Amino acid sequence: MNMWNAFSQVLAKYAVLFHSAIHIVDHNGIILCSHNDMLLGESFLREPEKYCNTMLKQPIHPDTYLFCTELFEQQNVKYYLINEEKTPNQISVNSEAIKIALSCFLNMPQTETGEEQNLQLINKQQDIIDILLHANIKQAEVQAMLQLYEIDDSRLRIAIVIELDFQSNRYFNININLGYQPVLEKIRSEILETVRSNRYFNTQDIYGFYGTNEIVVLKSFIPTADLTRIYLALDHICNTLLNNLSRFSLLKVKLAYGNIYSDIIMAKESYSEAKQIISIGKVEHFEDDFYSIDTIMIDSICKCLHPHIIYKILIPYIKMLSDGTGEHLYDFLTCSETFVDCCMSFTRASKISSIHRNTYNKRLLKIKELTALDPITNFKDALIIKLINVYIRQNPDFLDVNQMR
Amino acid sequence: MSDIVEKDEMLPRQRVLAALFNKDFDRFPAICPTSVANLECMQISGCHFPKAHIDSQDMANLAATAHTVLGFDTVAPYFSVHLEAAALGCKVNWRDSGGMPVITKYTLLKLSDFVQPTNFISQFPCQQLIQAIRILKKRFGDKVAIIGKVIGPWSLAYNLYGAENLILDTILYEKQVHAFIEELLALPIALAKAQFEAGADIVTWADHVTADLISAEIYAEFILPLHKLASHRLSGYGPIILHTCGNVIDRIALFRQSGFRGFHIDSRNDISEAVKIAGNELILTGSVNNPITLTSGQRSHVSKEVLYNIQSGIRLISPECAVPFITPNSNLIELVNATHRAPLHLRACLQPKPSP
Repeated sequence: MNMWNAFSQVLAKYAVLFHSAIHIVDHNGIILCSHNDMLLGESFLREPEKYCNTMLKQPIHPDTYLFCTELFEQQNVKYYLINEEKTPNQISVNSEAIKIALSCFLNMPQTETGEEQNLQLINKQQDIIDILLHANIKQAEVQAMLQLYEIDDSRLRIAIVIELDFQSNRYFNININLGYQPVLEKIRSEILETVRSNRYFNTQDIYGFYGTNEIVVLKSFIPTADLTRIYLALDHICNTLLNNLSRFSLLKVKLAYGNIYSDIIMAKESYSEAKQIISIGKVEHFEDDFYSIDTIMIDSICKCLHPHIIYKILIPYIKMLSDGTGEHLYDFLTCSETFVDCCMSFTRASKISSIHRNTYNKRLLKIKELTALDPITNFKDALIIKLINVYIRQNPDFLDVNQMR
Repeated sequence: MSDIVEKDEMLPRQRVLAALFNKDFDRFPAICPTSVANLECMQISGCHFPKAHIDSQDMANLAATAHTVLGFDTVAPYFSVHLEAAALGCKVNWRDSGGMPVITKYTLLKLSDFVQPTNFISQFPCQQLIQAIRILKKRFGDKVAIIGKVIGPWSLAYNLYGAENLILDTILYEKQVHAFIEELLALPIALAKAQFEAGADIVTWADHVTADLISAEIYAEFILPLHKLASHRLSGYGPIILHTCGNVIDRIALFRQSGFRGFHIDSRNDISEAVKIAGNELILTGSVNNPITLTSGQRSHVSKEVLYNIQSGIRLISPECAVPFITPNSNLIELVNATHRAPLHLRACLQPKPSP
């Protein structure tokens, strides 16, 4: 497909979508490409340059409006896009969308083999990922891209992030070429293909690398009121992804997904949430590969605590626990958290931590003496103790800064 | 009516069946595995939606215009995809000439609610379809091929339970989905048999297993075994054309294993590639684009696309799916004429290639 054929198809598609007539003319106003092949070669608008970015009434059919905009320049010749619509309301916005769609082909090779077509398919997915996760998303650009690639923007979207960590032996703390890199480059594409071929993915799902060692999948779901089932399904899908990726022995992955959004523009939010879940999960469960919110619920809550809670509740208690010297802090923290994790059962907690029940009791009494927190009888106090422990693990520098270690 | 004036050597029905079974034919056939009912034909026949969806006489009269007005070599009286769903208790808004029917209430809240009906074929919507085929058979005899239609178990499950629910259950409750669609399979098989017995020459098996919704692996695991079973059970009755909208290029090799005689393909696929993959076992029909070419394009676009399809290896030309109601007759007639006047030497493009 050459560039002009591609243009012709795009114009035909948008003419149907916007109920408009669309042409590309040269600087003399001669139609070079149109949604209607019969008009090729006709003189349409003299000196289109004069009318750039302005709306005017069609001279022959005054009930129709024209919008002219410069499209591109090639060998000192300018080419213009002219959009004709019955109403003036959306004409400039629609023209912009068409222009963006056409611009995708301007840098395209002029001829295309079957192999290049396949490559384009992969690039198409990559383009969408790049645009959607870009810091400054342009709504019109996204819409044009989705229409061009026939991506259904009515579906619910969710970002699945797969962080790839390629295992290699590093004998020294310097980079030495140990021969891993060429292998890694090869398997990167195999990994993407493995992800793409997941049995639960369809052609409305979008995949691609984001950065060098991250694969992002924008999974689509048909809208439903029952989001619970979608989240359950996502857990299952992520487990199958891990299973598929387990054949890559050089690879360790960290995987999580963000929230579901009804607008694909929000894919970036979902991506950021998934990234945050991975970073939270790594603190407590570094060896895990799939971080589901139900396994790191408290960690996630703790990460999002209101500063009020941190500075008014957690930090004062930590200071009280440190007993001024910080000497017993570690023992207190370990004991108290195990006790809470064991549903406030002395028997189970002492068995797990191999500490005598009486010692346990003494330490908890000491905590009560220092802080007035009583996890034995008060659930709220037990929750605060759990949050203190998670907060300290998530903020390891905190203890150093406060010289409590 | 088609403006072809050359003498035909074959009747339309013979032409269609010859092309479908890899035999010589006098002209390329133009067929309608799905609906070609449009506003103009409704006006000409006096049979309008919604009545023409569920009244046998109106169904037959409107279907007949595909041949008498537009010149197609086939007629097909099932215009929607909702008769079975209505027969099974779904609430259907049949709408009017402004759009295709929609299901307003599914019958199933969970898969286990499904109970196999004992009197499915005798339900009113099924009976109307069967009766419409009888009327068409009586009218056209062996002259024009009659195409019936059934909704396959996967699409029927969408209709009864909701596509969004079925796809989620495919992930969460695989066994239940397997069991459910296996149970449903008996219904389209029974309805297809009834349509063949009433006079249908071909039956379209509409199952929307498009790549936009499910992967090829899910098709292979869940649905292909049922398609194989259906084609086996219907092998003594007549040929089946599978219909799936959208992008399916990654599963045509699987469709070929189904045992269905034909596949009705959408223009979004690479047709030459599809023909190559389909080989001799699966005859492709299609794939003139609906929204751009047939509805919004000009006659020259239609004839160009017909020729493109034939050169790509399609032997039975048809619109890619049910045409929008606003599709002009001029374009549909051009589809038929361009197909019928396509030079027969292009059949060389269709020489069976060795199956991969």
